[in-house]
Amino acid sequence: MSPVQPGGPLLELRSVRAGYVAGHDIIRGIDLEVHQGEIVCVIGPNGAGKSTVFKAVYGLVPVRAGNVVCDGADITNIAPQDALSTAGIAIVPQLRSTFAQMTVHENLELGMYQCRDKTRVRERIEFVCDLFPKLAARVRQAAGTLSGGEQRMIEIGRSLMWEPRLVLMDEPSAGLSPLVTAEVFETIRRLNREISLTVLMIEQNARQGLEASNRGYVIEQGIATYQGLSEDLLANPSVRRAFLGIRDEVA
Amino acid sequence: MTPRRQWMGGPRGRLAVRIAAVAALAWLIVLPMAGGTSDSTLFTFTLMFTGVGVAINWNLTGGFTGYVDFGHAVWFGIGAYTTAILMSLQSNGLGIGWPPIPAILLGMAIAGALAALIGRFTMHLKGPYFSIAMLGTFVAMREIVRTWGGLTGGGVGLTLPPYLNRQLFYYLELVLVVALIGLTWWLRRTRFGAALVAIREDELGAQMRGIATTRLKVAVFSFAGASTGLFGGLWAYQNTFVDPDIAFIETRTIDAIMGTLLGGLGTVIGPILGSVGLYWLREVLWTNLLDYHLVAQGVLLILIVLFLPKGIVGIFDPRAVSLRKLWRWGAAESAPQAPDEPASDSGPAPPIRPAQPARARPVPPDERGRMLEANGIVKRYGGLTAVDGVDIEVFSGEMVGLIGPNGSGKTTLFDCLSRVHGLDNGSIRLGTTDITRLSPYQVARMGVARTFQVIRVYRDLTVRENMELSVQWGEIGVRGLFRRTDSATQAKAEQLMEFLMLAPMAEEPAGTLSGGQRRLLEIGMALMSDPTLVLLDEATSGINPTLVEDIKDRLVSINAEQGVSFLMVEHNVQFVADLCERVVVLDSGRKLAEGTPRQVMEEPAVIEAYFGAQGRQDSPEGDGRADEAENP
Repeated sequence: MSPVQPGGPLLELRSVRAGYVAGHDIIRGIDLEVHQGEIVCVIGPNGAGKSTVFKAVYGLVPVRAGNVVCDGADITNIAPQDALSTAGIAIVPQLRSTFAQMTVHENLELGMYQCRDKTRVRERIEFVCDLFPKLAARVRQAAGTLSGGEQRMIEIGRSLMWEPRLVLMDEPSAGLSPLVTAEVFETIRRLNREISLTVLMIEQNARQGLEASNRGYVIEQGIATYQGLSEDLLANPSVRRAFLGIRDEVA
Repeated sequence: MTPRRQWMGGPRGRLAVRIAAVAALAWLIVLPMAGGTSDSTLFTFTLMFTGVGVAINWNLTGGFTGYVDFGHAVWFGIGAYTTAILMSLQSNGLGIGWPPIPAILLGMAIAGALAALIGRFTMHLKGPYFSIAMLGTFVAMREIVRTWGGLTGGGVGLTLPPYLNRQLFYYLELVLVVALIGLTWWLRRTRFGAALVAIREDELGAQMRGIATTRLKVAVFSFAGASTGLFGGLWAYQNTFVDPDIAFIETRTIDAIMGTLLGGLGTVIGPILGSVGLYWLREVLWTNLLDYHLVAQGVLLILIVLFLPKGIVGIFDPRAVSLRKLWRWGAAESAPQAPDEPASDSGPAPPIRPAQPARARPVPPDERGRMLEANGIVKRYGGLTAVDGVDIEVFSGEMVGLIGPNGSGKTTLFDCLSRVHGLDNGSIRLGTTDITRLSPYQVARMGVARTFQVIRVYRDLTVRENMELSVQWGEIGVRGLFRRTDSATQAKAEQLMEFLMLAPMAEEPAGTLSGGQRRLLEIGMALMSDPTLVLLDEATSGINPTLVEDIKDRLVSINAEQGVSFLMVEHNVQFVADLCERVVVLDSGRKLAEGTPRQVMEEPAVIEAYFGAQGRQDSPEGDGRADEAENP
């Protein structure tokens, strides 16, 4: 493990190749970095390999070439259960992942499942409840009885339990109404401001995702084809045409 | 491993497999005629054939259909006992022994009929509950036989008149096993066989795509029961003696399950390889280890399950030897190949025509032109009223949007409309037909297709198979027993996959697609059935905005050219505003507003409950795009 390089990126992917089937790479040499305190958004067409990038970071798919580096330490092919405890990377998956029959409190506890220190778990639950007053009011309620937006808040809150350095969010707005979508993005920005949370997210809702983030990457067919500041991507005509579904500029 | 896998799947590999199969069969045919083959050897082989036959039957329900039966040996015992009771010369109340052929055939018929009757009740149960119910059936039946001494001879058992022509039984069972292998091989090349796999993968999804799942799975269960009953009858006659403990023995079920797992669950040749392998394994272990052979057998089986989860078939490429590939060997020549170049996104795709232009099935709209009319729908879960008296109607050729906050009851309403849920109150009409009490598959056959918020595709089947399986089942009928697909279905699937940019993954299992691609596949599957009304549940969630625009265009053209009506749950308000003339807003299970997209978007209550500030920002830009979508 190389020593910590001050000022270096918090997460860095260096020419990473990964895939599920032997001989067929889904991501084919991705370079990507996330710096402390940033919100970075990944956009791109369906099947381009966006979720696979997350899985490669999290050790859920074998990295065949290249390196994943977290805060100077090489974490390539880390075991998924170590990603949070060792590297401090939490994940909020694409599909709903709350445990419907468990209470909000129990769901949050699971975010620190590997931690033996019960006092610390209690403190962190209080911390998360302070961040999400709506959850605080429903701590003893079964998660399944909460609305879709509130369940997303549980998932985000759960990811924050073990003081992660970086949170990966796979389509945080999926399946949420416009009002709640806005609320989720607002929450991400607020957490970024208040607790300096670093976020790497995937969004199909590309415009709102980019609007909520500092920098963005476009991934197409397993390769990062554009990258830059979010406002530049939002203004880039070809990105607008290809990924924001804005057509009026074609004609 | 890789070169061998390719070799196994290649033309030379196929030839080798076929040659091996023919050679094995030829050897089995010649064996009894060769000098020095003793009667006991023939009997050993005949017992092995019995084991293979029972495993194949078990695999029909346990492997293909996904109903793991822990009591399959009950059908064997029923076949054996029926034969024994009818043929026995002991006083069994009949006074006279029947000749063997009618006795064995009646045993088969009774086993099949009882399987149909019992399956009708137990197959409503899922997973372990079904398994345990069948185990209970098995134990209960054995005890009934033991107790009903007057008929069955009780614990003492029954003796049959001896007829020990080993060679005859040998050939008879060989022919039966070969016929069963042929039958399963052929079944999986048919639409019904594919439908069985659909039941295993997602029974509710299969039902909502028009497959009459209950009828189909009970039919297969009954067939398997009858077939195992036939082997039971033959065994009783050869054994010349039955008692409850040898006719109803758990090991017979366990062997069938182990053999199938060892060979490869849900494949044609798996149960054959596995049962034969298990049989010889046991012989070898017994001879060498005597008392410890069962321990060794157990350890070996654990190792096999751990390291060969797909069984012996999985050693070779499962795709090369598994049934799916076998089944394709025949179909591959006629199936159109997927194009190599990715679908171009420019230029309008040709319109997708219905596979059968003249259809009796679609329900005509009612006298006011309404395709769907639901009145006063109420659905409660425990204390929670999810849908609280909603009226909704969709006119023929209309596109209606259904929006509302998360948890407002939109998906529950869809579930009510497609009959997944029973209603607590209210009525639903499709055209002039009342569908309030119909089952999901019947509604699907009347031309209602839907997609699902939580995606339902058959994960183990390829994209193409998923598409071809989503035909209009109302039109298939008995033809489903003869072919897996037809040229019209293939062409239509090809066109839809092309349009949805799924053509490059046509041969990939649907489970390997990304989230967005699975949504596209679902849309394709809904359109495959030539629906008259499509219910789209968050169809654009997770789909790239550019593709969303293309889907929008395609829905407009399908709507315009074929008059298909759409009811769509969407959070993409722009999508709804561009497509729908009418929007219904739900909140807390009730209708909050209804009107044109512009009207509802300006409604203060809707803005407060649903859009927030963001929605208002979105709306002005959309108007330009809406115009463009209407004037391509």
